[in-house]
Amino acid sequence: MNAATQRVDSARLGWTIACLVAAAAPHLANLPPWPMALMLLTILWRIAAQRGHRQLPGVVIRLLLALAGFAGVFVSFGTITGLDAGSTLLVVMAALKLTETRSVRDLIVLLLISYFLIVTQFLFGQSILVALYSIPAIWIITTALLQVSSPAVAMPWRRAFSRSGLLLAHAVPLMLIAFVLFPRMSGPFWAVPRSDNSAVTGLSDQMDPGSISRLLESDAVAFRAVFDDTPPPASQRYWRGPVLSNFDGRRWSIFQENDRELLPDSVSRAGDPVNYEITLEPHHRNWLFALELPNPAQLPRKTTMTADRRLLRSDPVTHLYQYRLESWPENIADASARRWTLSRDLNFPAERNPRAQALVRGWAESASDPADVVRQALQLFREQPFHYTRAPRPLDQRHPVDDFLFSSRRGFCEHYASAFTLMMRAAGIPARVVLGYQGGELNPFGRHMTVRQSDAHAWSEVWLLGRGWVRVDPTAAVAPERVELGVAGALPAGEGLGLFRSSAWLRQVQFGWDALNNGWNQWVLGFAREEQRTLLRALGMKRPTVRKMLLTLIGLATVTLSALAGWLMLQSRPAAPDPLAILYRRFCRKVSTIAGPRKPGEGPLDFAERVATARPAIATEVHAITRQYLAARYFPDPPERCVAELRRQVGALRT
Amino acid sequence: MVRSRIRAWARRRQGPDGEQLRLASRRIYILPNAQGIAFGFLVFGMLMGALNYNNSLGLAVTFLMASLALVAMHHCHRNLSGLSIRFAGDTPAFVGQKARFKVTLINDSAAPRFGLTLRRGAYVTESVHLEPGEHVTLSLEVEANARGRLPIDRFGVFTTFPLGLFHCWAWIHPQWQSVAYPKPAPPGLEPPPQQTDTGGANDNTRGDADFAGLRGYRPGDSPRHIAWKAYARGQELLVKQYSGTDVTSHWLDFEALDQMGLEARLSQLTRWVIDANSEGHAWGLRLPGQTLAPDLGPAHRDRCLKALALL
Repeated sequence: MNAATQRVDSARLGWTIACLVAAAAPHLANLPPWPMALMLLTILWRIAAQRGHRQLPGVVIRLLLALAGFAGVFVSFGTITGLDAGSTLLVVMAALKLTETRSVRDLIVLLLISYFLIVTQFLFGQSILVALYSIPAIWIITTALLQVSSPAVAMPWRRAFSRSGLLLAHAVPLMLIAFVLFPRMSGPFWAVPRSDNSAVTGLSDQMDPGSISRLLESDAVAFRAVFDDTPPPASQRYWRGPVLSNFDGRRWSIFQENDRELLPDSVSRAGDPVNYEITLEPHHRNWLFALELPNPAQLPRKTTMTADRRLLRSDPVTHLYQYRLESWPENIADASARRWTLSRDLNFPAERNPRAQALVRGWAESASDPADVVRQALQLFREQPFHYTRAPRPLDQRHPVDDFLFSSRRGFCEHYASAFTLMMRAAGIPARVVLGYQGGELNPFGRHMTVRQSDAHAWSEVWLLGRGWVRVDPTAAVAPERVELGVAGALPAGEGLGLFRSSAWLRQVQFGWDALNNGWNQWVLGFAREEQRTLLRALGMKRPTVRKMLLTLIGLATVTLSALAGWLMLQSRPAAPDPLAILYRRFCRKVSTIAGPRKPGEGPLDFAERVATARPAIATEVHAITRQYLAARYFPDPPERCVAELRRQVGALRT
Repeated sequence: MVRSRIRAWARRRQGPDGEQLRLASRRIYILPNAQGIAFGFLVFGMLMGALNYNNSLGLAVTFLMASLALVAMHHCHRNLSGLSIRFAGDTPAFVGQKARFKVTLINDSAAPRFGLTLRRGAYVTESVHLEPGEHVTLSLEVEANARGRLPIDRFGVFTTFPLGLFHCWAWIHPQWQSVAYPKPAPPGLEPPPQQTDTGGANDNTRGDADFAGLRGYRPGDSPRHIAWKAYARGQELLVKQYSGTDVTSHWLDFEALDQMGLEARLSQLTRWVIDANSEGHAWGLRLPGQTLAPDLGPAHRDRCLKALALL
């Protein structure tokens, strides 16, 4: 009767199949469907074999299936390593293993694979829903492990669930201790391959007409921010991301040389700082978002500030990433820069968009000062019939800015930013496009601000002599509500952003859910090296080191396990006998001088008969006591008077 | 080699056990089994993956699994800790067969115990669950290799419950004994003829085998004495009793078989005892220094076989 030889019975097989299905089902969302179909096939095959309708496949067919599985993975992904291919392979192997389950040990291997499948599922997503799903899944697998590995007859399923639930409940405190205290690494052991099919929505490092309005479709969260004090007003919530200085007449892109570091003395300080923490969703890019103007002295680890004031991280953000910043909203950079250092922010292809260039050259000649040109351009947007819309008509490929300014006049923020920046450059004013997010929704439950992909925005910065780089948002000239109310408030009727943005109570639900997600991100998913050390310091550990954390972990785990062992030890003590048993035992002791002790297996009636025969003089008393004892025994909770009567009778017995 | 040394160490450490014992914690051993080691590798793989991907949920599940194993270890240990074990009798066997030792497992604690199994050498009993207050009797087989007293020098009680990740066991070194009866000689040699007890032989009024009434059937009664007619009428199994002072019996005499060796004599006597019992004859047994008066029935048979075994 050992696991290697014990044959598979239907109950154990059923438990195992249920676990495989529970563990593999979430992968339907992440992986191609064919491994799941294969698993379904082998499950049906295995069930048919269990019922005797069909043979399990022989070694040749199994080998062919395994080869086909490998080939399938290779065809699907072009590799058999990496997250997606690896997970698919795991599902395929589990499906194939099912066709050679002959002993209980094979079933146990499948259950261990099921546990592993649950964990691989987290590599694709760690939302609250995924976590909630995994709790019953782990419970089922643990119950199955209990049932399958038990050599005795399987328990009723309700009982098995309660036993495994007890085990899991006992394991949870230990898990929490380990989760808080297990030292987190600062980086991966080996390169983490980016998920192949992760079509991440988010800002890219270039902008052409339509690239931002596409993001409007996405309600996905870009990041969440928690402010130490009052959040800045809506007009200051410009979260800067990539800065685009290259223009080819249609498309704006990053100027790579701007990656060099900012000179600290080119920043002047003014006003009050804003302190905040951002939890950035993975966007697989190097840049971080920040309000104007981050304090270069207090940057997150492995992050630099570039000459154009982007925050650049050495590694792409592939996991939820938390960082703290201090920003000086009234700060100005490069106020003292020379015009010639800004020459790259004046370039544009002269042969494209000629009408726009001509228009602006007229302004520049008459204007006394560059700020005047800026005003004129904004005035153009404000006074001419320009419209803010998410669905403008496609623009001319060769001269898109001309087409927009003189003909279409309908556009989204990228159209306005692009046209405005080009106009400034044509007028000889250094200008560039900035991508980022504008706005953010303050969550009434969580005190945090949620910034979504649909808040993506593009605006301009112009360099003015004596003032440095100044932010100009041309979209605000056309649709001032965009800045104050967000996209949904600024778009014309009929271009709304879906259900959630309209209904009041649904909005409340959304706020609550978002607050929950924020807490989840901050306390569970974003619990990395820095957060761990901060929490441990707050809990009273001075200067947390890996050694200290491990020692504390071992210490606390020992205490917890000792408490469990103590509790279990109490349970293994003999149960306290009830008063009836004590009285009856006293009776047996009293009469043992007559007929010897009661033999094992001798019932009270037989014993009474034996005693009465041996000493007829007390037969009446002996039988009365036995009757009284047996009568009381049949009450689940014997009444006090029965016990009292028995006590009196036993006390009165004289041998 | 190592194994036998460890066992010898455990025996020295624990000392011999009595008729009844309660398993104390200090004599319960626990180690991960193959499944537990596989589980350990699984958790290690999960830990590496979760750390590498800096995956919080992955880490949480990894820690949950590791904790689960540790908790299961304590639960597994508790399954045995405080279990009472009692000798509940034995079934002797002839040499070459297997004697049985009945062992009662008693759970007098307030919590259930699961998956308890007894093992002696390669012989493993079924495994049982015990609710609070329950007890169950299992039997262990012991090869009867040589005539005489048959001790069960050691057996184990083990469990892998709850998750099958740990093997938790205790060694018991009882002083219990059964008996190995001599191996019966092959049938063939005729037993000595029946003798009639002369004590009441003259009372001929009732003849050789007078019917004297019926009594209830007891296991071991000869089938030819069963009152089949009464049984066919729907009555219970009854046995016809014959009375009379003319007790006819075989006298099986050790000294009469003087042309054989000791073991052969005992084997032959054993054969005759078995045959006489199954045929319903009465027999008496004369051994050096010991005489068992003529009687019949299984109890008498066992007495005689035991006397033969221990000679």
